Amino acid sequence: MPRRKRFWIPLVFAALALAALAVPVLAQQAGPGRLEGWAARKAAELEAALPQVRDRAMADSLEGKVAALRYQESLEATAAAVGAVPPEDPCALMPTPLPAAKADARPDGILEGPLAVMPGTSVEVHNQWTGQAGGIRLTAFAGLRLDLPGQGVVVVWEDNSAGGGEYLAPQATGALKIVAERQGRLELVDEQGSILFFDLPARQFLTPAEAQAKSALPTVIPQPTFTPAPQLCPVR
Amino acid sequence: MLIMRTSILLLLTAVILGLAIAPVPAHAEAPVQTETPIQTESPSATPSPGASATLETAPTGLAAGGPARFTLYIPAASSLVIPPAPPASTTYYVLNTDPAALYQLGCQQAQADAARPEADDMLVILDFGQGYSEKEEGKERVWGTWLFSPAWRFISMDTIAAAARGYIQGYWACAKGGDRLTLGIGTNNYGGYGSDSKDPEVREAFASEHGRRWAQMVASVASWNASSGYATRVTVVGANDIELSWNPPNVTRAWVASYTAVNGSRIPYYNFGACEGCPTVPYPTWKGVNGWTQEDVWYAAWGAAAAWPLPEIYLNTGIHARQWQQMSWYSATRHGLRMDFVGAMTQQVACQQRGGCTFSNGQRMDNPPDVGWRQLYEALFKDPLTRQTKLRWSTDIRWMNR
Repeated sequence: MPRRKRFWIPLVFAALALAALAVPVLAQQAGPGRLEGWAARKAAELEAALPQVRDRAMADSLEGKVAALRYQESLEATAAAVGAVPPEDPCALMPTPLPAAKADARPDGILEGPLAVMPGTSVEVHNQWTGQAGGIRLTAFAGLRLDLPGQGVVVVWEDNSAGGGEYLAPQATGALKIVAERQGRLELVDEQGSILFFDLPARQFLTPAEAQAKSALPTVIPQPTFTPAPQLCPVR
Repeated sequence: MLIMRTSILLLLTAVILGLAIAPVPAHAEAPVQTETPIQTESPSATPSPGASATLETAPTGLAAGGPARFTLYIPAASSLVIPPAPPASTTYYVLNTDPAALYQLGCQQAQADAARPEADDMLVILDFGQGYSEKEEGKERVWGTWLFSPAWRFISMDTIAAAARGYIQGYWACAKGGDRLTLGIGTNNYGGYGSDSKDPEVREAFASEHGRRWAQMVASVASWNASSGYATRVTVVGANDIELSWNPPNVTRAWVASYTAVNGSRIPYYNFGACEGCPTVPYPTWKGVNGWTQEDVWYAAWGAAAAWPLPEIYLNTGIHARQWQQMSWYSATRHGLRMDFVGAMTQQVACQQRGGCTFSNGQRMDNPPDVGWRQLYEALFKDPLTRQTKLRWSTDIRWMNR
């Protein structure tokens, strides 16, 4: 019996050791508020790392980062000295909305501009067309897939819904550009000068025979429209 | 004797286990993360990635008192316990620069944060599109950006600054309690900056000027933010969606160098870009699209004094996270210090708005914010050289309604 009891000794040792190790971890968590003095803490952390960094470029970078964090602290101090208090009416500070013409309204039709990227995709936009097609207001972009050599593409975005998609040209003959739109059909030109047609309501490139035919193709099913976010501050 | 030996052995095991587990706080409920100091490494060291058993310099990071050498690290004991992802904020592709519209968005973010107690420290980026400039005959060149499609038009730095101020005022007017916001005023590294040229030398000169002007504009908003008293809640930084396929490295480096030189780089910028095609294992001779090297990516995301990485973690497979982990490993082994990521960016809502995001090979790129954040956290954690237990933000980008 006494022998069995002695087997607990190592376990007690282990428990004590773990408890001792937990103290610094808990102390770290019980430090100042997560946000209070964040810039100062991060600056101190980087400063502590600096003496160990032997790479000149990294050390210069760290010094710059520390200086930026210290500057951020000084901006916060400047603001605190101002003592600004938020207004009771959350809309009180809202600027007067710009007249629609001065805001970002764009005309319908073909729109030219510099080459642009469509972020989150591999599409480079060469030009675009906006208007009504098949009862849906949409924008069609013509351009190039940057990740597929020579692959032209048309991208369709429906206004105010998740409808649309990306449609690759039948042949990889270079970037596409919209040159005309007639009754919901885009006329496009590729880098070799060939003309292609894209039917917007059907969302598909047309074969020469289809392009000649007057008959309408099956159209896509309209998507549910987004619910507009409520305006928090009424326009005055 | 046997019992004494067993005791000592168990004690040592407990110490080792404790050291290995200590840097990873597991919070079942509280989202608070502790900060692990940045770990440094001698440039001459050549640790292996994803080491399964290694003697490393310091498993919990660098101690301020000096390097701690030869601490035993037991991977089996340092099992990954991922803390909850921070609440995600809404970042925008800006399509409407009316300050009144931005004011409403700022107020919305503040109100959403007020409704979530854990959302007391958020990051939002307003992405105004590619750097651009226009010159009318007989007039000075005007600098700004070219807005994304379908808005697709030129806006000046003054317009961008006014839009950002509108957002800040909206946030300020509607924020509650101790909520705080960091606002990034963003652009990207695509295109010719209004040069109408594809010549990298010409673009470099334009990019350099744009970087200088961008830093001045961001600094002016930050200064106004402080003098208006808003900086107690709102921090202003720059931001740039830097992608390798969008320009050669010399063009982007020129932008970064100029931005950094303004005001002694006192206003940082967050690189919320991609490392497309970057390796996921050590690959010193790697060369990417447009001639980018890992050194170029490192410089634009961390090596420049103003740069902080906030990577896009879009791919559901987790490859983006592994690419950035490898960049951090490159930083640790080549420059002696891992990268310090400020968070992760996802694009789930932008994808929903556009009917999905699928890559040409069928891979999806619509990670939910918490998944993207976790992928990055986990990838960084797996190697002691890149381990970072504080990953501050999660933000998800969407298209702004016009």
